[in-house]
Amino acid sequence: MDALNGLFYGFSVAFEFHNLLLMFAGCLLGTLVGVLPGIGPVGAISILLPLTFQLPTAGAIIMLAGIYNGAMYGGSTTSILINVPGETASVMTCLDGYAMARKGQAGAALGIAVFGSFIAGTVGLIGLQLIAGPLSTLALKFGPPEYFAIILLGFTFIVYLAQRSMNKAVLMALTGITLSLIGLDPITSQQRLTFGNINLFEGLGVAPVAIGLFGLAEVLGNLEKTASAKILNVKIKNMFPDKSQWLQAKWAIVRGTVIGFFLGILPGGGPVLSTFISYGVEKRVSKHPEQFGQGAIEGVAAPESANNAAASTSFIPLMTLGIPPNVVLAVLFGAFLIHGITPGPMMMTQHPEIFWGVLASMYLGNVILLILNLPLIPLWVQILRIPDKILYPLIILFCLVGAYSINNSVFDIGVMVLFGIIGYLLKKFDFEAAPLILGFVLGPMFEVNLRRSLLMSQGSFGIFVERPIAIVALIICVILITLPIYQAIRNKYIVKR
Amino acid sequence: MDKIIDSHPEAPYTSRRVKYFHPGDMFVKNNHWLIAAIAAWMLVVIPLISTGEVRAAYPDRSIIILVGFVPGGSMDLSARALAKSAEKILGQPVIIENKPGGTGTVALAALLSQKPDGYTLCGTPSSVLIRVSQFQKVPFKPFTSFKPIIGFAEPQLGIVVKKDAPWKTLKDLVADAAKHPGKIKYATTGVGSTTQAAVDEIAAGHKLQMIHIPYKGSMEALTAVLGGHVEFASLTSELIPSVKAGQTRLLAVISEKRSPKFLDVPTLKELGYNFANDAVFAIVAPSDIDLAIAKKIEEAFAAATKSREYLDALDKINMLPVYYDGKAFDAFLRYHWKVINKNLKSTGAIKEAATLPE
Repeated sequence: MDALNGLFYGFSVAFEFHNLLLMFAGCLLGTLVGVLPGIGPVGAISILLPLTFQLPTAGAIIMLAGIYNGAMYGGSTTSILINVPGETASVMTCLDGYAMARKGQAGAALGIAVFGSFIAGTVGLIGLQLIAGPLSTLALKFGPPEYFAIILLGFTFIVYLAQRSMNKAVLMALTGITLSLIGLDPITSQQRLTFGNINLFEGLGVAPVAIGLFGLAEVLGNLEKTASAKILNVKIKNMFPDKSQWLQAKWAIVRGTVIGFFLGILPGGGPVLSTFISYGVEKRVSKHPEQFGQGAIEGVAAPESANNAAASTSFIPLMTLGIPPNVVLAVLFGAFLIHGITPGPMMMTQHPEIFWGVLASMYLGNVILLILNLPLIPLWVQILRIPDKILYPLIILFCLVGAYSINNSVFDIGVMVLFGIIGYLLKKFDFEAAPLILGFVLGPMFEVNLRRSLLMSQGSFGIFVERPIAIVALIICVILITLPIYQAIRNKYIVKR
Repeated sequence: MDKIIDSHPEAPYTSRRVKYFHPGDMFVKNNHWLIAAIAAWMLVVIPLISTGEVRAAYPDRSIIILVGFVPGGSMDLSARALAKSAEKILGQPVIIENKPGGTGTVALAALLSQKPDGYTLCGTPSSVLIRVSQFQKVPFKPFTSFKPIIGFAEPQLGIVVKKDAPWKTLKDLVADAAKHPGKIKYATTGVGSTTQAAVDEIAAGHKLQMIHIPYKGSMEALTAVLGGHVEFASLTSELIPSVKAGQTRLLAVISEKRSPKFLDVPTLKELGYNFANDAVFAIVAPSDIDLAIAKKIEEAFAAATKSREYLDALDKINMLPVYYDGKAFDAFLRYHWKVINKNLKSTGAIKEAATLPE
């Protein structure tokens, strides 16, 4: 199926009544979790995962993708109006978005965020549509050595692009890999780290771990913050930015889109990182960097475009290689597995309704979010007034129900609560949970492909050097690892001089 | 997620489980809501009109089949297909209740905690009884805790090569492997799986040296063949679409009889290897079930497996219809327990079976 026929087929799937409804529900829910500071898309998707069991796979993924995209739109509202990021991908939007709102330009800030999101999200989807086919064909040529090298490169990027300490990111990723070893050995079917406990035979589930780390831990962390943010009491008018504002934001949207596009594909990148980088880039290329933080419209347009472009393109590695590049996609990967489908190069041919249906519904979702977002902002503002004492117990309840209903297992509730506490402690000690969950999801692929490669070569590590794709990926790994060391040595040398 | 709607103190059988409402059901034409409404109505009305104990002939209410896997998997879909056809014959709803966990053992254990009245049954792959229970200690005896009712479906197992591979028959492949020891690589769905045991059987007969690359499921193993990373693969049902699309060539099927989908492909047995699929989907009841009721269920399900509707539904999910009556399935389990035990020990996956079969 070529890209155009595929898309038409995809729309025929997306326009089925129940899929439309699910897409709509996903977008709405996503915007809601985007708006609410208590919970982000990862938590929401993991909690809602069990609800999608009864749905056909395409419908389930359509809804979960809708949540992801919706959250990217919704996050900006809270950032702009109350200076609190609704979720991590809109942290940067606070800086200039809130400043604009205080200057009475809340409407323009919200408007440019939504339009920027729409443009960037759509461009990202076009990229997904055009790249996925050829990349899937290429990915068939990827054997165990190539996969091993690419996942190793992924880990290197995850650590290299870590937002905080690189050492802590390494620790977290390794912890995730270690946790993924629990269960039956993938090659010999022998038990590992199960301590004879029957509940651990199949390993820990992605969903209970993710719900704990990103749902419960988030709530526990927020309980400490007593200061309730004040909602800016401004009349929101002029949702459409005027001509001069458009001209000012034009290139910021383009640059944000490009940065988000590529960082979305990169393992360890994704929406959150792309907002930080695109904001930094805007500030550097701007002729008036002193206005950043004082209400520069570029400072809203760039990160809001970047996170939506990244959200769209992060589906590329998942749908073609079967490698989830960021946390949200790691949880979505779990959703595919629960539905009995392994994402990978065969997905486009074996399950075209899923690939094309999800793609088409994301196009539709972008349009719906554009139309819905602006008129609904007064409603979202109302929701922000829900007191924490009602909201947080509700979220905790959803976490418990979500963890239980995946396997009807009380053990999973224990796992979820344990990881909730671990997640809370990690936050306190300034560790990121994202590398942990990525290590947890990528760990089994990493291990099994290494061992399969060595089985193929009968124990010789030469197999990684003989294959061109593998050796290129490994060389990039080495460069990425040595670069910071080189810089450290150089700095020391310069300081001495 | 089940709600016990009501339990009448005098009648111990009126406690019934009604499936929790899932939003998706509205779209997949399940009528659980309707059933729930009717059940609730009956619970209110029936005690009012019948004070004495009136026991109609079995079945006088809905039958629940526990399934140890999540909805949408092959076990779940096969059981649903059977249930749908069986309820027309039994005249009562047959409801699938998913109880995933413990590689399918949770549902079997749950069945034993139910009354053996024929209103709760379990749909399980034979592999949970005779393969999983050798890997892990399970809270039941695979041969004696249950009364097998019927074996009704099986996956399509077979050995495939890429479409442009030089081997036209399994004999070609074996001859090549014998000539080049340690050169042929093959993929299976994992150590200790039926697909791997089949290749073991072939290799043992000719003393072949081949390299085994285990994969996590059929889809991954199929991808490895198509990408040329292994020379052949031993797969389950996922092979059907790829063979039909001409991406792969099917050299042999791993079943007792030839596949209705590929009548020109020989079975391993025809080729002289004493091996056939040991994974058959079955319905079992607790072992102390009333024999007359068991017989009634067996007859109804047997008739259901012959219906057009059932056969079409299986075809859509790439499963093959088979038929074992209770006795034949019991013999099937006992025979394959030994075969699997020998294979698992020889591959080093287990030292001794974790569960005693009886």
